[in-house]
Amino acid sequence: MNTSSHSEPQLALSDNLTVRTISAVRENMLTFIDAHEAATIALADDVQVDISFIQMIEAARIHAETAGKRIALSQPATGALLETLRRSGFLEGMSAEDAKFWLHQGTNQ
Amino acid sequence: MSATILTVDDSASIRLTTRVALTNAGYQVTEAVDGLDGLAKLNAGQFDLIVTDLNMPNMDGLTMIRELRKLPAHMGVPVIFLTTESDAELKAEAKAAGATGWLTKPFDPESLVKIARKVLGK
Amino acid sequence: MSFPDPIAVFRTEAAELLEQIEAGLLDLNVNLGDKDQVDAVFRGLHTLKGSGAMFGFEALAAFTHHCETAFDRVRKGEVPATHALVTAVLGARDHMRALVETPMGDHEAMSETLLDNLRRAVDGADSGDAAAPAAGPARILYKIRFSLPQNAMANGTNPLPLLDELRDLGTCRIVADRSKIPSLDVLAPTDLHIAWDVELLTDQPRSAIDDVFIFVMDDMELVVEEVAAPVEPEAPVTTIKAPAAAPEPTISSSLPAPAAVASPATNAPADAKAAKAAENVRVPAERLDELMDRVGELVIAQSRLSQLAGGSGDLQLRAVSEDVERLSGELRDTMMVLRMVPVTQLFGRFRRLVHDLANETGKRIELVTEGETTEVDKSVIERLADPMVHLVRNSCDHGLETAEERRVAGKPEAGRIHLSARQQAGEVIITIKDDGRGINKDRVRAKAESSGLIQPNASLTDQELYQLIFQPGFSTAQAVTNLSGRGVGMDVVKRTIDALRGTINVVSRPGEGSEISLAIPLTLAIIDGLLVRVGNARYVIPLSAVEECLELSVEEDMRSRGRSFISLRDSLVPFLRLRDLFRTGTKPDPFQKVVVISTGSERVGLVVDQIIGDHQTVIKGMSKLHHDVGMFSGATILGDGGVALILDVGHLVAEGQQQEAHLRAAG
Repeated sequence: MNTSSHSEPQLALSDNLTVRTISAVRENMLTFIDAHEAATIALADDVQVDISFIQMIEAARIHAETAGKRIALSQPATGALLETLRRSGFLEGMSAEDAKFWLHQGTNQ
Repeated sequence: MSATILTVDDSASIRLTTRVALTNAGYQVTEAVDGLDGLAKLNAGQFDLIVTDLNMPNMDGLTMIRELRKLPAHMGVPVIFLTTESDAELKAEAKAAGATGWLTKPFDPESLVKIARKVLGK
Repeated sequence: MSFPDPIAVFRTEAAELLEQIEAGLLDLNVNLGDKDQVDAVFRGLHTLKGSGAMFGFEALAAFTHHCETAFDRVRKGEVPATHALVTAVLGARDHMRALVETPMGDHEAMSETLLDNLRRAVDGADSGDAAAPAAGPARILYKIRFSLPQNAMANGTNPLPLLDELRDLGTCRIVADRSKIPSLDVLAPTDLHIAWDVELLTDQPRSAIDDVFIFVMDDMELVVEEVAAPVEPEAPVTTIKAPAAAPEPTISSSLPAPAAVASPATNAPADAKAAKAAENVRVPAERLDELMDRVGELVIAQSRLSQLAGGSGDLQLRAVSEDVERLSGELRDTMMVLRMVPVTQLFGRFRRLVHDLANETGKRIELVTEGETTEVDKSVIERLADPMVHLVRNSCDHGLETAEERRVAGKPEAGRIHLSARQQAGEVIITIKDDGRGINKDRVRAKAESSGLIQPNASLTDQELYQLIFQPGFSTAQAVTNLSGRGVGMDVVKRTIDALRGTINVVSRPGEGSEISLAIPLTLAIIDGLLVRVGNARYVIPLSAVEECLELSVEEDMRSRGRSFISLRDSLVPFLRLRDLFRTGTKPDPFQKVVVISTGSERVGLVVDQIIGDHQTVIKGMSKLHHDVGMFSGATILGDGGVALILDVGHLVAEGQQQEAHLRAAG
């Protein structure tokens, strides 16, 4: 867990985000969100993800929303993450809000 | 990088058959001779799939699967067990122990590879 | 002689099958309705799979199985042949070759990608093409809702491969239901809370869906609903098609089904083929080489016999000797014919190359071949392949213009590559012709000047200028392209053709195209040579390289000391004193001769002691031990049992030119 010079506190996650490591990642994420008002999540370029990570991020969105906080991905989903979203059926029937979160669609960036 | 598979079986001939089939299919194979050896191999490395017999000396397959599911480092690793009986009760027991799927003996190498692909994906 | 290695036999057979498959696919691509080609490709795949499995090429067999299945469906009219399918299987074919060559390699990922392509092509053909002649099994729309056991993920079930499996069953829309995912603070992250809604349009039975979930079936929630009304647009087409495919009223005899009517017709050519195959005997090439060696030795023994008989007064011996001479001559000619194969195979591979090049460059390219039945020595064919690939690539890449450019120039949009082969007086002439923009002489000259190949403003004939493109390091391509810019210059072409003792001729007309002809001796095993003596030893100079023979007068010899040039019709030709080169340690004959040899535009004189005469020679390769002896390309046994070395013309010319450059530099 570290905070970069980015305007918002940023959580850099490890490059293995699969069911094997997901419990520890969840602990990190929870601590981080609870400690900050707004959190940006940064993923490594060659990240390994599976469906447990997507599920955890969805859970984190719910948690942040309930707590009145904001979380965002530092970059729109690409590569392995995008592919996992596709394979797991998350891209089909995505709401505008989901598309904004995962793909940064409809944002000004 | 090709996926790594640990095969656990006390029968040398079954170990050989599985190794040949899985290696030919492009997987990297490590062998263990019983449940204890299997856990030792698991301690020493990471695997993408475990294929294990149930009846083995020293530590049987069910015990190994139960022990394995307690190891956080191997959380979620798929385990396929080999069984001679298509016994529903045994299957249920193995599933309860944490097994992912099964393959009924005698099996042809092709169905083993098929199951590895099914579980591991592409 | 040893038993052939079964694996090697399989590889040879596989190579042939793969060529057959490729040819069939390319023909099919031209005419998608060609049933014969569909059958041919299917048979090829089927045989490849079968023998692959038999010889332990499991990965090959498994992979090929899928392509075979796809073609079986085409054959049965379940899916139509489409360009996409042909392209997918062409790609798969290349992969099969890799699986044959390196069966233990890591091909898994590639196999899967290609099979995905294949599936997509088949699915696309299945759902897309309304003009399809086929009426496949009815497809059903299933609505599926499922959730896996909560501990499935922890117990090793990864949902992603399961979802992929569902997708593989047909056309599929999968939507994740996240409504059960809890908040992060209460989430057990290794438990699975996602459910899925799936719409699947498939011709597979309901059990195929259950098979996907076989390991989790007992503990999961699965609802599968068959949607009554078929929603696919081609469903009505299917029902209309069905009666159209029924036998026509005119053949309303008691014949049961059109398939049965068709079968004798399709069997007939196959039977003819089988009969033809039975007349052929397949022999490993090395046995032919062994036989060739024996024949060569027989020719040599025969010429000794002729010498002996000639020197004897025994008329009977002479008669026998003449018979043996005639017979061994005939035997040699027959032997030569045995080694000849038609260039069909060689040309065949260019269809694929041009197909791929057209795709890569976005140009439209037609390939025309001519004289495919022309026969050439097998070893020549093998060695011609690479230079020809290079020349064809070059033509497609640099010679032919884009469709747009061609339209502007008033040419047909499709560029044309013309390959032809013909025999001409002991040589085979292979021509690679294009109707592109032609070779830009100014650019060749500029490039040659800038790279120091020629002096600025040097006067050169067109032919001399064109030959420059075959110099090492020469390339006129301004941008290195994916196609030709492979770091290999046209000098490779020249080197190979030189090694084959062939010549290259270039003709080019601006705006009309260029034509490169390769003239290659029909066979490599026998050459006509000029037998010469240097010191006490004899040497053979390939006759094809000999331009003329001159006498080196004593005065000229004296005059040229230290400046080894002779003037030959106003031009200076460097010469090499073979006596010095071979360090014979003998005194020169009083009347030395100069044999002027050339490769293309370069000439060099070889000073020898005596010219003995023409000599037809069976080439024997040099042993590995002598591989680095560059000056000789082989050896031959003479009629009297002596040995003569065969001079490597290319090497000697280069040596002479080098010496010239050296002397020039020294002033």
